[in-house]
Amino acid sequence: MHEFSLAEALLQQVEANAPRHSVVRHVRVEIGPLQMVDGEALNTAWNFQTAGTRADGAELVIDWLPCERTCPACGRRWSGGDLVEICSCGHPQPRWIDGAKLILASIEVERAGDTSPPASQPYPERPES
Amino acid sequence: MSTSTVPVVENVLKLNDEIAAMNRVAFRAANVRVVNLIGGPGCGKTTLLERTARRFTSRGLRLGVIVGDLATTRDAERLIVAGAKAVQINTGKGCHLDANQVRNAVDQLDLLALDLLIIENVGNLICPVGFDLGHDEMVGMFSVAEGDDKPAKHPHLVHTSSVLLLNKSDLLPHVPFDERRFRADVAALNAQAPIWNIAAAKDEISPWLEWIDARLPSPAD
Repeated sequence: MHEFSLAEALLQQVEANAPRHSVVRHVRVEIGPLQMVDGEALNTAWNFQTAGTRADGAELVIDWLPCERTCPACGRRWSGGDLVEICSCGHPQPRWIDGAKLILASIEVERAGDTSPPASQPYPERPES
Repeated sequence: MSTSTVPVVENVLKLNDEIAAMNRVAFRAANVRVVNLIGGPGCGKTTLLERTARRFTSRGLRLGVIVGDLATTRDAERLIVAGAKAVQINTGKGCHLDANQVRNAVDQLDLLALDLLIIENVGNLICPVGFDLGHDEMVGMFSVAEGDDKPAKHPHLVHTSSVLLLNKSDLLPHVPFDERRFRADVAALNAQAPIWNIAAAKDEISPWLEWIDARLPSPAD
C-alpha cells in the first residue's frame, strides 16, 4: 500500500516543519487524483505512523484536488470525470494541467511558549560499508 | 498554550526528492543517463534487460542495472550472466525503491565505467511512480498477458512515463486484448509518450533499443 509510505514521508515533513516542543493538532494535505490515494487507507496509515509521536492524534485533513485538462482542439477546459475521459469534441488527447500533486499544505500546532525554529531535517543514516 | 497554523506547501516526498537530486548530480557528473523501468510482476522487465545487456556486451558497451525486489537475488544473477553490472536491492516489505536505496546501491557501481544505468523497480504499477530516484526518464511497461485495462487502472504511471512498452505482443493473436482501447487510454493520460509493441522473450525489442541508443554518451563526450 503506498498510503503507508506516504504517511511515513508525511510524518517526516510534519516533524521537520513543526516548531520545537509544539504538539501537532491538524495536518492539511492536498492530493491530486492521479496519485490514486485512498483517503481511508491514508488515515489508517497516518494514525499508525504517528502513534507515540507529537503528531499522535493529529487530524489529517485531505483536500482532494481536481484533475484539470484542456483540449488542444477546441480549447475546452474541464475537471473531474473519468481519468481516461476524452474531450466531448472527440479529440483523443487532452492536455493535463494538473492532477499529480501531493502537497503538505499546512500544519496546526499548539505550543507552550517556545517559538524556536524546527530542527534541521536529517538525512537517513547510510549503512556502514 | 497557543494554537497557530504553520503554512508549509511542500511536496510530501520532499526528503526523497532531495536525495534524488543528489543522485542526479552524481549521474550527470559521470555522464550516464538513467532510466527508471516500472512494470507489474511478470511483465518481462528482467527479460527485456537481459536482452538489452546482451546487445550491449556484443557492442563492447557496459549496462548497469540496479534491480529492486522484495526478496531473492535471482534477477541480478540473471542480469550478470547476460553481461550487465547488476546490483540487487532487497526491499523486504517495501513495495518500491526510494532515492536513498538507490544512493546506497550506486556506491557498489563504477558509474564512470557505465554507458547507461537502468533501475528495474519493484514489480508494482502504483507505489514506485511517486518516488523520484534521480533518473532522467521513466518507462512504463505492460504486457499483453496482464490485460488491456492496465493503463486506465494505473493512470499515474502512464501519465508520468516518457515511453510505454507493451510486451508479449506475440500473444496478441491468442488472447483477448483490445489494443485500440489500450492505446486510447494511454493517449488520454499522456499525449506525448509513444507506445511500442515488443516481445522481449523473442528478442523483438528494436524500438526500445533505438530509444536506448539515443541515450548513450556520444563519442565526443
